[in-house]
Amino acid sequence: MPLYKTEAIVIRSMDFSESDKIVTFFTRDFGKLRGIAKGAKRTKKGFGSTLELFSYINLIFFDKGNLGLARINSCYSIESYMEICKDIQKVAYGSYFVELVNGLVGEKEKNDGIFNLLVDSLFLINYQKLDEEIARIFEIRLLSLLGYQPQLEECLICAHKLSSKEKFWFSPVKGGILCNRCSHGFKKLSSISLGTLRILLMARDMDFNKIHRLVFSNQALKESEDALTNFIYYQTGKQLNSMKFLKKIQMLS
Amino acid sequence: MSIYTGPIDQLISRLKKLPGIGEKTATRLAFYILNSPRKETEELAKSLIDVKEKTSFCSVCFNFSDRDPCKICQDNSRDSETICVVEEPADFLAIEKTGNYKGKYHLLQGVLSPLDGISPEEIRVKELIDRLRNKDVKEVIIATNPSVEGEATAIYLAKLIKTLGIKVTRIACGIPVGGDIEYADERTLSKSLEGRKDI
Ligand SMILES: [Zn+2]
Ligand SMILES: [Zn+2]
Repeated sequence: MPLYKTEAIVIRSMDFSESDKIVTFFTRDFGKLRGIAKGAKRTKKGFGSTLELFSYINLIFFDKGNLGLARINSCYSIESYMEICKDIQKVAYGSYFVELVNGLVGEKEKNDGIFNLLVDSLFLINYQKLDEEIARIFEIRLLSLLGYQPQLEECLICAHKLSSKEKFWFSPVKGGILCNRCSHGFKKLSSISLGTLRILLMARDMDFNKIHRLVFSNQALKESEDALTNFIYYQTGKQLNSMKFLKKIQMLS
Repeated sequence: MSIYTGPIDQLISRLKKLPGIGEKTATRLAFYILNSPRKETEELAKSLIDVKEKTSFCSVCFNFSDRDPCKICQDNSRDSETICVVEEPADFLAIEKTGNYKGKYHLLQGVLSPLDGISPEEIRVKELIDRLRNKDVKEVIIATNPSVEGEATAIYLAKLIKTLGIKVTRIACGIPVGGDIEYADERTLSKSLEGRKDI
């Protein structure tokens, strides 16, 4: 069996038997990859905490080349995002990122852009104060990198461009915005203002190094959450566990 | 797909559902049961039913118990001012086996996990806080696992418990006995440094 090496992020880690773990990675060179770490639960084996959720590592593995489980040989930590687990909300946001990637990206579909987005977003929540914007920024950029990006620049039907004179609606089913005139007869529409559309476009296109400067108004937070989470719900067909968790935690605090 | 049919096949597939048991072990166990005296098999079957019928949770610490409160909660020789919080019965057993801990326990029956949809409402957090409000507890030792979820749960609980003015400690996690500093990752090493103590 050939031996491979790649950068990877742990997006799911599950105990398999008394001593083994099955781990799902998003890797830079091979996309989503599932592997088994024999003896990972025994402390002497030396995986340490490198197979913990969110760990950014250099991964060495054996693979037969089919879609079966790879055999994890060894891991070397690059960044373990230790600050994330000091705040349950950060864990929830990080979980949301990896759950989205796990749910929307197919096995072994390589995507450098998504890999960088995941590394950078985890880095951001690890080192910065947490703001709700990061979830919206992650969603819009991920959708765009996956090629599912919603049309936010003009009416899907009549191509009416964004303008302050026109009211727009977001349709999760059509995957974009509709002008007031074209919106009649469509269901599940949510209203979306020009300001929200403009900030979402910035969140999608801006250099990630400057992204922490982006501040959403309360209206933009509300409208973009409605639009994007409905759109993702429509794409994945289910409500993500980490999203439900986030809502509960916010209610409790 | 099994070679056997009927009751043998059924037993093998039931055993296979148990944690850590694969096809081979399940087959071996099934033949062991088949070959053992009828009385032994009846006792095994009875124990399986009994454990379901006669065991429930202790209403104080949420450990499995055949009485309520459980043996440990009733034991007056144990220090009731210290509570050790663990995720599940296996962790309780591991700590109890050391023989070094004389306080009481609280079993969360799980750990906070956004990916599994386990929020504070799904585990015994409220029960712990109620217990701390009503009893004179001086210290809570949090012994959740050093995983991301276990760590996040520990810190979440610590914040809640500190508002009650009770001392909270976390078990030391770090380089295992028999481990090697040179090969430890930074998370493990920094945990070891945090948990250092005077010698
Ligand atoms: Zn239109
Ligand atoms: Zn008890």
